[in-house]
Amino acid sequence: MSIVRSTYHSRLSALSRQSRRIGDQMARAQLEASSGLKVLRASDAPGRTSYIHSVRESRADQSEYTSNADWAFQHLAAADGGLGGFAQVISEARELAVQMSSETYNTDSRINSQADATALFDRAIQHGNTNLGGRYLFAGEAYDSEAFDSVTGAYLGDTEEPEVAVADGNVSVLTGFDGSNLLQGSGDVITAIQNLETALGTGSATNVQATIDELDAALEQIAVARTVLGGEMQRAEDGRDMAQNMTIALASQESDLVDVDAVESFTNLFEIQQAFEAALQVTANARSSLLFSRL
Amino acid sequence: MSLISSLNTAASGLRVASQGINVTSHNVTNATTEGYSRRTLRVETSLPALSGGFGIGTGANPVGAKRSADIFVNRRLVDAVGQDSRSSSRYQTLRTVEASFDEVSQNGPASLLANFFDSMSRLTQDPSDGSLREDALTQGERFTDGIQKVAGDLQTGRESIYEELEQTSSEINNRLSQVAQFNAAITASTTEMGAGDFMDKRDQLIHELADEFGFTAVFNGDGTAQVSIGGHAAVTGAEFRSIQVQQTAAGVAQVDLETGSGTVDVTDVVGGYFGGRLDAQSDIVGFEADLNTFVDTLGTAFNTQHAAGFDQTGAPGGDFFTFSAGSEAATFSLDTALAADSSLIAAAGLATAAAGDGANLESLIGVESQLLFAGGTQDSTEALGAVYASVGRAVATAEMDNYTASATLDDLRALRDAASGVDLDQEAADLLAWQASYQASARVVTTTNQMLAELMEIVR
Repeated sequence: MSIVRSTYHSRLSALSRQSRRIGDQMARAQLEASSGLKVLRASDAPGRTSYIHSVRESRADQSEYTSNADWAFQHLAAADGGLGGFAQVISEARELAVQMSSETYNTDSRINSQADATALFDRAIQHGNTNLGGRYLFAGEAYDSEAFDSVTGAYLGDTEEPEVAVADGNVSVLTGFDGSNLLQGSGDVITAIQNLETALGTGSATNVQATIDELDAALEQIAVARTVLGGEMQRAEDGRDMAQNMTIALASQESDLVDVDAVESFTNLFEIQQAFEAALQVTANARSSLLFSRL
Repeated sequence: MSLISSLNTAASGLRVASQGINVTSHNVTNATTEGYSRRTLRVETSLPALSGGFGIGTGANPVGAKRSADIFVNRRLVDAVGQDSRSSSRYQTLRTVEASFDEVSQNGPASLLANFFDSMSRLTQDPSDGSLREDALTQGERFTDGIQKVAGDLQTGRESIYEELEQTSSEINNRLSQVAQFNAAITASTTEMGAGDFMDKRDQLIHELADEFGFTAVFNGDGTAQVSIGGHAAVTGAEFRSIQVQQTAAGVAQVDLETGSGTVDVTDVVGGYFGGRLDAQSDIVGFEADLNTFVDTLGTAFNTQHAAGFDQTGAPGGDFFTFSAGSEAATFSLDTALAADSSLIAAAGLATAAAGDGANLESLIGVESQLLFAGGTQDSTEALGAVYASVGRAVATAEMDNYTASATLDDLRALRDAASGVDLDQEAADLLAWQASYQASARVVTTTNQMLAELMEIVR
């Protein structure tokens, strides 16, 4: 068996290298403990880098979906307020129609109440032109201008409806509506009030009586519209909830991939510090182990 | 044998002990000198003198100082120094490159890509909103800036390798020349001690050449060393050949070695520090190609989709991004006209569309998740992540190589130290031995002197 000769210089060099390596490990452990991250560079986990980026990108997407869903919900809530106003107007119009179709009232009374119907028409147009921050909610994609003409009641908007994405896979919710479809479908809300106004102008109880069915249909139309809108609001809420849940799940996933376990990290740092101090002590002892110093 | 002869024998002991102390002193003084090999005094017994039919010893003579060296270990050490230096410089260079991708603050291209598409997603809330359009352009510009910055860092890193090589080539040639001069001095040296010192200095130069450039050496029986690179001799005896560095049209460094009839390209066989730098150069060229492919694919797909839409004036969309072939990443930017006018974002699907028409916007956002890369298997996030992973893998591999090379070098240094290193404890013991030897010889001298004095007294 041969014994490898060990010199004083090589012993100190070996100890120095060992101390330096422990020092490097300590620097790394300190960095991890202070940053809370175990993946600080792509080379720390090259096999997982692409996946980490996908998780982060998904998290960013979920954040946008949450924002979009909130944004959509605010606009849908404002639109729902508009439809509620519409329902109120149509109810009042129906009450007026029922009242004026009664023989209790004479022709003059009916003609005089035409002004009430005109006021109801104006209110209906107002609700039809409901806007949030200048965005007309029943004008379809042409939401930068009014949905209904204030004089004729004609629809001025677009038939395409704006929407925003609230989840992956092109899941989107409406943020505005085609007023011509929503309010002038099977029961034309605007025309029903206009017809009441006209009927009252004739002073004929029969004519007024004839508008009640239209107004009932209009009320039904509003109810349908509110159901549609309520469904969109529900979808917006669902989208927000899903995005928030996904955000939490993805954050947890990202944390597993890149974050250090705090307890493990500090324990590791403590152990390395102990080893470093021991290495320094051994080096100090080795420095004094020299025959020359004893001559 | 006469008393005078005894006096001479003791005097030779004094000379040997003095030389022994000299050699020990030389060893102790050079204990920490890099590349120094321990010397051992070589002593020969003097020829015996015939006296009365007997051969009587006449003492000893110092005949030289033997250099303790293991040629096999030294040769392996030269290779290991080169390997360690090579892996270290590659690792350090790639770590710098890796920092450009900025994984920690998440402000690197991958995050900026996600931010850009998120801003496009926000724009779907209101495609007519000027501030959202401006935000989309801002995020687009940040993304292109991020790609450009990385491309710029890669280019700077690549070019710095050539510049450093070019600046260092004269120093390398100077060292090759010095090795040749030391070879000549070793051949001409008349003393073992002197030749040993020349060898130590030459070997140190060879280690530096191995460390810097990956030169290898073969030590000949006559004490000279032949220095080569990739099998091409750079120093043979007292002759040396110089290296030359040039930049190719592709912007990468090329190293040539002079031959008798011209030059030979040794770029691929350069080792040591510059070998590592050249390895990193190859890595960087690969990263640049990956990044250029990414920009070209994404930019082209996005521009194609953008052209399918209509801007706020009802005109078909123009280019969203611009870039030049061959340097896609370095020239990646927003179209100048678009950058100055956010209304040119072609969000609408129809020329006569209403303000809220974001049909094309949806398609543009869809480009992010289209499987456009790696033969239709990766989307843009995965493709950019793959570039990051490629950088990360290269750095991790270089780190592991460096660790292995460093450990090998440590082992060989320990072996060299075992064969050639100065052990101060041993030198202290040798010093005590030479001191005792000197004292003993001196005692013989004084004893012989007393005997001679007593003899003189008798004669008187």
